[in-house]
Amino acid sequence: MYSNLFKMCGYTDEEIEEQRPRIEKALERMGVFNEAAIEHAEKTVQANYDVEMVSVQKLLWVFMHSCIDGVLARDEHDYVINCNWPFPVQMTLAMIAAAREAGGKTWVGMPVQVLWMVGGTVFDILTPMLERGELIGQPVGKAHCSQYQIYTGAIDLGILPKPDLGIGSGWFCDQAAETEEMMSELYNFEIAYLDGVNDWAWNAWPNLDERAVKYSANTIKLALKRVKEITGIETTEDQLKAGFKYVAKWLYGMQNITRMIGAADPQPISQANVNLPYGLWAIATDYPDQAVDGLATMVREVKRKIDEGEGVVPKGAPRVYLALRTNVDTTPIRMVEELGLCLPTVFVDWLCPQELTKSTYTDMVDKIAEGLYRRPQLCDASAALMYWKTLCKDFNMDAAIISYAYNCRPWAVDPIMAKLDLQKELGIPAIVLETDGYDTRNYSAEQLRTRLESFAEVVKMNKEMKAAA
Amino acid sequence: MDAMERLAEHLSKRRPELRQIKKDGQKIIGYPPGGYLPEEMIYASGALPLCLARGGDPEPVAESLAYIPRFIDTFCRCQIGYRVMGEEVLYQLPDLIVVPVTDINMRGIADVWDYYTDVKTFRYGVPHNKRQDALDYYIGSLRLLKEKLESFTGITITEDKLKEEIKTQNRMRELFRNISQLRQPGKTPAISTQDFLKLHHASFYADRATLREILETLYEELKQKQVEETGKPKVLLTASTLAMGDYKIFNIMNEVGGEFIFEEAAEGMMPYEHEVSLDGDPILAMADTFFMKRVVPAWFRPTRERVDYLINKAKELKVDGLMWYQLLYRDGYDIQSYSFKKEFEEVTGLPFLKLESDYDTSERGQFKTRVETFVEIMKQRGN
Repeated sequence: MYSNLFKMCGYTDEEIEEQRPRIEKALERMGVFNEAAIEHAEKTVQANYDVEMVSVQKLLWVFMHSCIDGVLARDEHDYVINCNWPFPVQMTLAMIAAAREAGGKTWVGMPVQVLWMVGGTVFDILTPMLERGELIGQPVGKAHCSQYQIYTGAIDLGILPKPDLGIGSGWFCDQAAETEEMMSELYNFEIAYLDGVNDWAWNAWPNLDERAVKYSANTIKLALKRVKEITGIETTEDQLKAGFKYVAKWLYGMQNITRMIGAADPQPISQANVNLPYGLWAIATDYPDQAVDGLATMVREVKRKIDEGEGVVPKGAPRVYLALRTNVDTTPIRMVEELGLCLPTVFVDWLCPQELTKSTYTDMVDKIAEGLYRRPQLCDASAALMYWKTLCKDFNMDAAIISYAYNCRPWAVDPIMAKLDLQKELGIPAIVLETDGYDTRNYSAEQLRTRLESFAEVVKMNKEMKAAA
Repeated sequence: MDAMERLAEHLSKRRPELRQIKKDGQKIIGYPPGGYLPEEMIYASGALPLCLARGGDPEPVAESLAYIPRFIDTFCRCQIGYRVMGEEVLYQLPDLIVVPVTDINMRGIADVWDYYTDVKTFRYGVPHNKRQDALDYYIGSLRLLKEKLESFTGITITEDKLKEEIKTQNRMRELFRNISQLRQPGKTPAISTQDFLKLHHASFYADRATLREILETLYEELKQKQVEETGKPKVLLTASTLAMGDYKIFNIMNEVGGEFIFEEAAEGMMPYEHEVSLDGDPILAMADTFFMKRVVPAWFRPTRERVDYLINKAKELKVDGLMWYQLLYRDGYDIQSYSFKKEFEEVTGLPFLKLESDYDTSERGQFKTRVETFVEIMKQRGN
């Protein structure tokens, strides 16, 4: 019933056979162990990704394995530790390694993030989780974070297990930690909070206040200490270093892809496919070698397509920056491309020069904390504005679509400022769009198309006029 | 003339006075409400603190949409509206804005001031728990604030000067506390909660010496006042923000025959429940009062302290119900209300009413219907 789907996701026949009991248990729990759901999933995954690309299959393999592991974590391990987005990947990778070395009694992962990637772009089953989440303290219409509605819903529906310890993300936004706090009250599990103070002076980025970095770093140390107290697992400096190395490798590969797509004309692959490596950049996995292999394969496939002159938009198409990846549904990305606009890079895929300056911190955890805030969108509005301006200049963008997750409080501050900045300082047209990274009910692709069609016409006309001048 | 009338008269002249003060060269330091900024520090620097706490009006909310998306807490979002509309003098006065960043909504206030105005901000973060490292961070923030104020005004804040200001502010806090304590459990208060709140709002911009004198007189007047028991249901109010001008719920409660007898708000009131110790390092003493002793807002984690405080307060004050008033998109309050309601009703057996405002005129009818029903329920339970 599901062999074809799993093969699209990089599984071999032998693997499917070997994993069958686990696969079926997980599918059952996710409510998709039936022909209709599998058939729908086959269509969904093909709509979201170009599954004929080997790299896509390899990266989907990592997501599918990770998803099954997350769903079955309680069945297969004594302790379950959840790390919730946005979260330092290096820290999670280090804890995963420590848990493995300690004999595997403890499972550490980022199950919710994996679930929304798989549940959204493969099975299209997030709506019931979102609806359940809306009944649990995050009512509809109040701009609650849909990512955390999925989290709440998935646990309440029994798709994901209740953890022994959640490591909550409070260093960047409030909603994450507030939802975790509610969950700990309702479901009686403990939360260790990573905390942040968000008091960066305007335009201070990338020169981050050491005091604030150290404060956040200390909360990471306290969380690691709590993991040790509960499970006996001690995360070592070497494991943290290994986590760093993996992320560095990943950054290098992602930047390769970003640079290659950005420089190519025509755009060689749909940005929809880059959702996968982007996802694995921000989500720690238990399968780092397979993930890196998938990424390297994508680099090679992109290069080959460029060499062969393949393209998904017409050559010379206007170059547009799209400010948000809709992680659970790639249709908005494909729609922009279908409108004949080139997407050289989207969201925060690109690392700008200010992010790449060498850290002066020597302590690994301090480095982790600093690294989080080095990402401009995770720092503050002035940093994000700087990022957008630098990116649009560097990639020679003709226009920008400032699509933003309306229900992400930190990201709901600066879109209008960004539009003004890009128009005034760079003289490029920009449009602000409310959208959602995790809840497809909150935007309609057709509605977006109506707004973007006229914008695309303006952008194309501008480009032609510039060329004529 | 009674004390409240004197206060009204003083406030009616205060805006032009403040304009003159600014013209004469005294620095005015604006800050948003929230209770994490010790005013004594600003006074000690020779500047004048001015809490920017206006809210409740729909126009600035509409105006703000050109500057910031609508998904930020209503109070925080409309602050830029008050500034750019130019009608509220208080928002034209600050030479510097100090923002204790408690959550992203509050940070949004700093961002819009920085981006859209020529007034610069100074921000310091307020951690979300009361561990030692968080306290240390807050202490460090107060030290940085001291440095900033010194460099901004050119006046050194000596320990003696700071302690002198703490003493003066302690007297103000004591007066507020004394007046608050005239409110007895289960009894009609000598001062309505709305008037008590207005005293707090007055403290945000009134001349301190004048206000102190008025509060002294008011306290004496209230002590002598014969209060007739109204028999109205007694309500405990908890709120994310009780802004200056946002009196809709008070008016409605009055109209439908209930009365608030106590209030707790994350933003909109002068912190008055605890004095600042005059022993030892004044910065440490202020951190103890403004950070450690105050009731945590809903965005703290853990937030159990706040839940317990409200439940105990409801029991202690023998109220008939609790109203939870929050502003749209203040997610911490919306999320916490879910588990709080369950626990509150289970532990106290009292009714709970949640109202959420976007400072929209059209809310009034719906609010009134809901408060009316709430009051009816309390009356029926009381019989």
